[in-house]
Amino acid sequence: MNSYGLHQMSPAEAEFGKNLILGNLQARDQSRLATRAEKVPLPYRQTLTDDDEQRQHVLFPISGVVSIVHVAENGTLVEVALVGREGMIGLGKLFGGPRQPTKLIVQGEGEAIRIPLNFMADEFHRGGTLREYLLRYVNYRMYQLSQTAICNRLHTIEQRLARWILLISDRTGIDNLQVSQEFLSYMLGARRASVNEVVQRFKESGAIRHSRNRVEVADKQQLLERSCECYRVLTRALDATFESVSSAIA
Amino acid sequence: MELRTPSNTKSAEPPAIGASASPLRANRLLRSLPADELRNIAAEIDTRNVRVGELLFTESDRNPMVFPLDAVISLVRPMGDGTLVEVGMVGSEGVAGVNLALGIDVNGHRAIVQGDGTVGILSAEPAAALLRTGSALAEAVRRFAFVFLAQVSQIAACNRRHRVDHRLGFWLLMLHDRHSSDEMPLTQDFLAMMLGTRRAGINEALQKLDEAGAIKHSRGRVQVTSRTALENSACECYAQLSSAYDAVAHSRN
Repeated sequence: MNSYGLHQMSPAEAEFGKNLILGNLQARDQSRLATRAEKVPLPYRQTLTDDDEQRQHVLFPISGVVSIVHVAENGTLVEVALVGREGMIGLGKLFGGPRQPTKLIVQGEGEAIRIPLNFMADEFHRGGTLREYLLRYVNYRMYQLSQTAICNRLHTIEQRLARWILLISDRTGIDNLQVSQEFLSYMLGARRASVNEVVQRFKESGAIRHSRNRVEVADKQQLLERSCECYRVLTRALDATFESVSSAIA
Repeated sequence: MELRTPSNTKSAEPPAIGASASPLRANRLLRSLPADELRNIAAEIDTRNVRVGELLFTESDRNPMVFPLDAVISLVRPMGDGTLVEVGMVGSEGVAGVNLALGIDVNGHRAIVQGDGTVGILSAEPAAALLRTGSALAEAVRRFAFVFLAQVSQIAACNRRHRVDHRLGFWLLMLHDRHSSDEMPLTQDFLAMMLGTRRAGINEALQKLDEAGAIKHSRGRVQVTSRTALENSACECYAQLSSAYDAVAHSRN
């Protein structure tokens, strides 16, 4: 409290507005969460793990983006979702979901608000806007995964690369992405040679500018045209998730 | 490890206390609820038979919650050009229409019957009342949502990684777990939708599984002849997903 007895915002709380879920909460919910919130870095290519079971957290990215990748028995990776400022990492843990063969890899460097898992669970049970938005976000995550299931099956590498570039650029708010082609081939579940070929085509047509480990959006319209419908579908679904709708539950 | 239907797991369940065995107890999610809550829900549920191919709700309906008792439901998404692709399936282990417990009126997926049987249908209006904050039903459905998420996530990865006959093996194992018999009514068109592939590819894949001694297939049906051979013919996805389901099976409910 400052000398006027007014609530002093912590550095973490001041950033809540940068995350779509946290930013949509009522002020009183925000200030309670803020009592246990910290701002942490999301370093590029870092795999996010819990140091130990006891000290688990959830993360709300405020910049950057995290890939949720599925790990095969032989270790190969396939991306199943991207989570940035629109979302939260640790949904499954919060709701007591099953352990999954997935890893979290920072795809775009940034920062996140970190909140202890147990505290988050208690806050969730209080109800209010936190519960409402988290549940809606769960629904969005389900939609994200089913869209990926379809996309991974039906769409070409070109369509999927365009979609991926557009999504990451939206999530991070940055048009200039740091990404290695090796990593990109993992994310898209395609051979490096195939990915190289498509990147070249995009470069030649002026859709992107590309140099070692960097991809820059040059012509968004072109990328929109080359992308599969998944980009549009996911964007609309996200907008719908955070519209105020009448809830089916109290 | 198999995810068997209730008829195979009865001996592992604790004896029912009090109230007469309701047919709704065939659904594992409902069975896990406190008796008095299940009674309240039963009063609002409409139990009926459903046939293969029947449409239970569309992606834009204000959908009900559908609890399979022994039927099998496919969740599909229509693409821009009208093609349907399956993204997951639900049997008596869960519910189709988890969106209602997430505060969302519309599911975004179409629910089509994949295996004949009975379902319990809870319409949107009574569902809203029953899903009030703190109810065991709301919690159980949300927990199931994550089990279903694990399935969709596995399918998403599988769709990118594995070849069609191995994928077919995975899907047939999941179906077999949920069907009450070894013989499953499945047309090649339905399989093509399930796997997001052309009929020609399906035909080839069925041949391979037949040659491996896993199945016998004829017009409109697939019979599992060797579960072991089928498991060996499938990609690793079934085993990976089973660990997730096992973990849930061994928890409280």
